[in-house]
Amino acid sequence: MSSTSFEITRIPTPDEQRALTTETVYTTTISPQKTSQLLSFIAKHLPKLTGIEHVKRVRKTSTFLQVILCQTSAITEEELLRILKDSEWTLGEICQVPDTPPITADQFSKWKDVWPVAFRPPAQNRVEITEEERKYIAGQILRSEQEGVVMCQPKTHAVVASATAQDHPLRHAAMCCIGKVADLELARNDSLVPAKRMHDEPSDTAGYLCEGLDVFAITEPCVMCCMALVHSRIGRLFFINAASGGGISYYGMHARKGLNHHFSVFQCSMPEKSDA
Amino acid sequence: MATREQRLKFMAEALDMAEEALQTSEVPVGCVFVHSGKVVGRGRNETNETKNGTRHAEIVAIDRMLASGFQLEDFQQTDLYVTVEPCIMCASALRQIKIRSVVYGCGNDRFGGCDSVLNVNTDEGLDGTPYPAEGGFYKDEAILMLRKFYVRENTNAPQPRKKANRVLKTGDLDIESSS
Repeated sequence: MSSTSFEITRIPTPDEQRALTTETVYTTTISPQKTSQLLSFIAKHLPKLTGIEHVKRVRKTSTFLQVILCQTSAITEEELLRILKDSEWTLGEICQVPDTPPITADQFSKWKDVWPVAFRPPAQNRVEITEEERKYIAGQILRSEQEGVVMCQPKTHAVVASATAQDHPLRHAAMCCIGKVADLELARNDSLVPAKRMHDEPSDTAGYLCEGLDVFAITEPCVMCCMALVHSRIGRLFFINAASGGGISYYGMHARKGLNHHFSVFQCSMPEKSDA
Repeated sequence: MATREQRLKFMAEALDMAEEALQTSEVPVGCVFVHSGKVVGRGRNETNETKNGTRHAEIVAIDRMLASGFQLEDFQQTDLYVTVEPCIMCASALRQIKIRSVVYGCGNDRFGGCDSVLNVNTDEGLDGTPYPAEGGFYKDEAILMLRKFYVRENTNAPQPRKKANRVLKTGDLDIESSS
């Protein structure tokens, strides 16, 4: 049905783009029958693995098992040898293991070659854009070409506000659009009796009024605007042209560890009128 | 370059603005802009009043300054004194107006754009001009101000969260608490 070339590509998060990094562990080599004995020895005498819960304890080869004793960061080799001295176990190779869990299939295929790891892709990896949404997205991108940054309710597709940049160093379109949403909310609150206010939230949670909204722009927002979108708790951002100094391209600000709100970002091709 | 004493004097004025924010139930962050040894702009948080999460002290002050005739190019000889490290948004805004330098009180672990989370002020390849930022001026006073805000019971809330049993922690700060 849809033979158009309108493309919507989700921009990966910084974690999804992460290259493999490793840390080192002490291992020993045993025959398979000895596994449970060794594991109970480890549980009793050696430091627990911390921060590498995705790493599997045992690596199989055709004839024997290689088992992680503990992380090299936990104890020195001398200490480990002292603990092993009165046991039947010996220190084998020091091996590299991935120090973060793989969250994409591509990472998993590379990580697991280094050492066996568990793979549990997080939920946001499975975001799908439906055919109905494609038309809506195309339509709002086309609107954005005329009206600047556009913000919509993702469920109803209703336009909440749109704004172009003003002649002012900081009044970029996204900042202006956030301002319009705030002004609309202030006007609505003034027109309602207090008991019926929709967003009569504790004052220290105000400023979240763009929460969950879809944002459409032709050009990727700058660092200032991307952080403004984080502060405003938007749901999704769609744009056509990436910018080298943009908040998404430069810092991956839509999904950065350390920031208290994340959102999804999609880069689109310019739609045709027939796509909307 | 201002002496430490001069910097503390301007930071005290920024703290006055933060105090004003606290009195109006805004997150208490305040700032002053200083040009040729004089305060040429002031701002405090207005995010609750405006329902706009971008109305931080710095943005508010810059807006007012430009509206009242301050020339954009004069920011290149202007220093900002702000009680809390500028957030990533403000750090980028300050770079885009080409601020000369930033002096702040306490760091901002959640949003800080001048060291704590990102280094928007010094990273290469972004819009605007990089600038130096230095923290630690009346740091404890700035932290105490924030803590006073966060222990407060919010009387505007429809279902106030129980904050009555929260206590103002000051033992780790090197100052006397007056309230």
